[in-house]
Amino acid sequence: MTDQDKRLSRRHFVGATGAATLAGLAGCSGGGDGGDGGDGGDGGSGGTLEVLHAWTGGDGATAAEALVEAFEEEYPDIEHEFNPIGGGGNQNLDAVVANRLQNNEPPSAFAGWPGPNLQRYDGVLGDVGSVWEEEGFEDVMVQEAVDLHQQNGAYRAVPLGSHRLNCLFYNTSVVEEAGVDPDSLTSVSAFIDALETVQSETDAIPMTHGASGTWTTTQLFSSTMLGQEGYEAYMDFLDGSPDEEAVRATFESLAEILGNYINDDASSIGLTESNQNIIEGNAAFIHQGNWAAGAYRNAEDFNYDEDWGFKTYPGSEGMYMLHFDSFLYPSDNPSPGVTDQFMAFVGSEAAQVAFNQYKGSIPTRTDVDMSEFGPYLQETQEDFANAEERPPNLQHGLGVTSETMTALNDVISSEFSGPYNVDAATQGFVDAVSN
Amino acid sequence: MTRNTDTGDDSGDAVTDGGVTEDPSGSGFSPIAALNDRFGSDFVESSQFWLPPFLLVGLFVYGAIIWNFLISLTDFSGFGNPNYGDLDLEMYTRALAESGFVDAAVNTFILLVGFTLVTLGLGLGLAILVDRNIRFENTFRTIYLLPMSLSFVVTAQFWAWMFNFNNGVINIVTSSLGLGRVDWLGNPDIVLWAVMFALMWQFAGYAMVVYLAGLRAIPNEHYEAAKVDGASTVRMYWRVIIPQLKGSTISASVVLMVFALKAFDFLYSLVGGYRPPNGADILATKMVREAYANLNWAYASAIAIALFLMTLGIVGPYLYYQYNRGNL
Amino acid sequence: MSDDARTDGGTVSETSAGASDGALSGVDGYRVLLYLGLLGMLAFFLIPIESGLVTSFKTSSGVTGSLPFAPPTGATFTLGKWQAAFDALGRGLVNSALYAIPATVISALLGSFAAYGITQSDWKPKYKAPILALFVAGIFIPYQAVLVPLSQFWSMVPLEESLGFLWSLGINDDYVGIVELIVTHVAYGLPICTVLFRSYYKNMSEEMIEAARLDGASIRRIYRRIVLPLSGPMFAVVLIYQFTQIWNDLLFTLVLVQTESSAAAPIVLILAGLGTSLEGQDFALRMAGAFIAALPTLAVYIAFGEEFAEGVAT
Repeated sequence: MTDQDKRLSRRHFVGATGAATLAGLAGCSGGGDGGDGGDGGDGGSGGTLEVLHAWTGGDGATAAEALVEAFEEEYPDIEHEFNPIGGGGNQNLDAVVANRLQNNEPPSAFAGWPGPNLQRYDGVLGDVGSVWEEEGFEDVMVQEAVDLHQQNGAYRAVPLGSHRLNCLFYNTSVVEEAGVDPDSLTSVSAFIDALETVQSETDAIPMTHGASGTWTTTQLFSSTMLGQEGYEAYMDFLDGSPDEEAVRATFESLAEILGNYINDDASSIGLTESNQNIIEGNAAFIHQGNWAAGAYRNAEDFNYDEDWGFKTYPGSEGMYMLHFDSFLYPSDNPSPGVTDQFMAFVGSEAAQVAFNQYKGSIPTRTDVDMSEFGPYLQETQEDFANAEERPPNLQHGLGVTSETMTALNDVISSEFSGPYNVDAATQGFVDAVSN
Repeated sequence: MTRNTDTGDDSGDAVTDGGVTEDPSGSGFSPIAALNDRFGSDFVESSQFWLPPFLLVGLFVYGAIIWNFLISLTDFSGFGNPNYGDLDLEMYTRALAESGFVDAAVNTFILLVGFTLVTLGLGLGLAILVDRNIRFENTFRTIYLLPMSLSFVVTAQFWAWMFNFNNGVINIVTSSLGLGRVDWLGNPDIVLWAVMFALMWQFAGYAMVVYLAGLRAIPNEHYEAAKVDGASTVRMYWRVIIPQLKGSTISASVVLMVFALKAFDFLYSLVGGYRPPNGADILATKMVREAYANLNWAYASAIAIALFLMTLGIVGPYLYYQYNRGNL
Repeated sequence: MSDDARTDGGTVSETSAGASDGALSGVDGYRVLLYLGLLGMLAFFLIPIESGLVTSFKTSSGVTGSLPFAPPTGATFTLGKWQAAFDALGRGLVNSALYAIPATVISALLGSFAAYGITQSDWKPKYKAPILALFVAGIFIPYQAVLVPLSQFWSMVPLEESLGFLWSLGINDDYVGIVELIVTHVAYGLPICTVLFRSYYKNMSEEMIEAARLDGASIRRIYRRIVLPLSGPMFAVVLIYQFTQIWNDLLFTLVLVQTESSAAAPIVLILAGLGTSLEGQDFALRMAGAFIAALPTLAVYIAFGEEFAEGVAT
């Protein structure tokens, strides 16, 4: 940590005037920035690349280091600062970014979610269309990535990797003891029956849930709705024309699961402790994004297919609920030339392989050689490439605006964190997304 | 009682406050003399001491509150700057319609009243214990007051651990008593009381110090008289002593309530983020979250005004009370 | 304060209060109960601290595998958490001191000025009262009520540009947050400082000041020669109180410095996020960090407990 800090050195004060002129230039070129992408010819004081992200610990930190290393290899001459902003998940990063943008001293690029999440940065993001064009990203990225990285008709960001959301992980020995075959669970009701079986046959927690934050429950809602009510209903919900009955039915299932089959301390633990229950064999199932699998890889003697397994969330087979880790491009960029180079790098195979194999996510390009990834991620990549549908996630920026997401989480907080009030939660969710 | 003072070596225009209307030096109208005439002889000269601090406080405290009120009338959110051209009360109506705001306001009120009462109660108990002519009084007092010297950030760490579901002291105790484990910080019906308990731990020593000062200001004869009347110790305190602690109670309550309104630091540190555990959201946390996590600046300002009015409702009468007693 | 122990008739028949301690037979039930109560409360106040202290020396398996108040055994003992906490918080200690100390000194001095100007000078009480009332009310303002304007204000003031010479010396320009913290803490600490000093000056002997006035000493001279030298005890109280308050405050650091990743991050800001991450809750680390952050104020408290008590009681 201290080493990092030494690297933080000064920002781009070097010459306030220089920065100001650059900002002016960038502002002018915002509309139709020609071909200044290539070689970062501006040099001089605009040359330092400053990237903010929130990967401060564990898998994330390792992955970020790998990314920086790969970047240095590719662009040894670019002066750069990768500043990890820790604390509160993404909260501190968001606050720092917001403050920097507000005070008109944007970083070169910052990590964030694309999709409707871009709306919160309306008016302060620049155009990286030239990078997309020059690098041919439109041809190599999945179509959803192409769509979700645009706002107001321009590309605002470049994707780095993708996690999957509709995942159910299980501890093999616990489900075997209970006599449950996870692969047979192809509907939410079958899943609930399986939870009941685990409850009666073993001492283990049927489903571990870490609900100290509301996001895990909102996330579970999205997978359950997708699995139980289907793709159309889920997409209608995101699009702001929810079917109230579908929302209610989802909440009824959730109330049954959360009311009967989760751990006693769910509301005071977070994802990590919850996930620990799987590793230690205290629980049978957990629903999470596939970042949860990162902890399994790091655990000793805990191997894929032997000790833990993966099942697409019941009912959502054939679908891949999307998540993107991307870099967003602020306008008035302090270093437009080198930022373009960095953005081109982010979408490259080198960067995506370096980062994702440690992060436990997969490349957003479909043309990447997956040999360096483990068997689990290779399977994920196949599912990704072959998925019938890739619905955007609800909780991580791609499905709804950050405002709507906050409203949804407020509803979970007040109506659905035990006792579970199906009526109020249904009403709250319908109101929150309805246009 | 007029008294001549002069400004010594500072300047030539000696000032008299004799209430003369004509300027004594005869050099025409002097604004300084006029000011001194109006406000008192030392007004101008002493202003070099109190005016700069006063301006600083005026700007940062009162200027900022007025500015905050202005912002709360705009629709300022996201990036950019507030538009002061379009002022309305929309943010206030929005707050009243939002259940999250109402919940936070109710929680704030519960925390305020509950915390103040239990802390005063415990503080009074401690003060009486310590006042019973005990040995090692200093040691006891020092330890009782010790948590008060700690940061909310620090005490939040301690209590997050105390309330830990599996390994915390409190649950070890309750389960060994056969009461089972309780999800103190996770259960929305309990968490506010758990927070209250932790805050009581931190501030009971403060209430003790205030009460102790109050107890020691009571003349010995009152104790003696009660004893002569044959009153039991409990009766003596209840009938004779506690009624005399009204002043201590009032000033301690005000300070404690203000602490409760500021419990933001504690709740933030408990979870390491802007959103406190479900059921423990108070106006102080909601305001900061709306502003710095959601960038709803105007809305946050409106919540801040609500919080300010709550404070004013407590402190206003107190200041008036102190003013009437000549303590200002 | 402990000298004025008073025989308040607490015990029914007692001529020698302390003579009977140690010999249980000679102690009546009432005093046993009294001391049991005192000791019980002692335990209540110390258990969270004790539990934190022993936990901070445990390995992760010791934290989950032993009672929270039991000391670590040979196998579960480690200094690693303290080492890790110190590595994370060390720079925060320095950063906190960088603003806490100047802000404490400046606010105490200005508070003394203000109190003196209002209290010991001769102008009409009916005009003093509102000014004083504004100072007193300033103590109770919830900081939330000024937060949004405060961030607006600091984003408008070109402080970072005007301190350019500092950054050109190689100092990280995040430290502009430290300067902002000093000014902010001085401004919001002034009301309490002023009121503390005022309560002291109000009771100061007026004879010397009167005499000096009659000798024609200026107000400034009186302060320098008489009031300031006599203010020593109150300065101790105010400095200790202010230092504790400023060191302990989180809210302003969160708004002005924002992130523990900043080079200028104060210790409370780092501590608030310490040990809570996606990797899980490391309570031993959090406890060790809590003690490191508390050390300066604890040291001040233990050394100057009386002054601290006086500060909070006023």
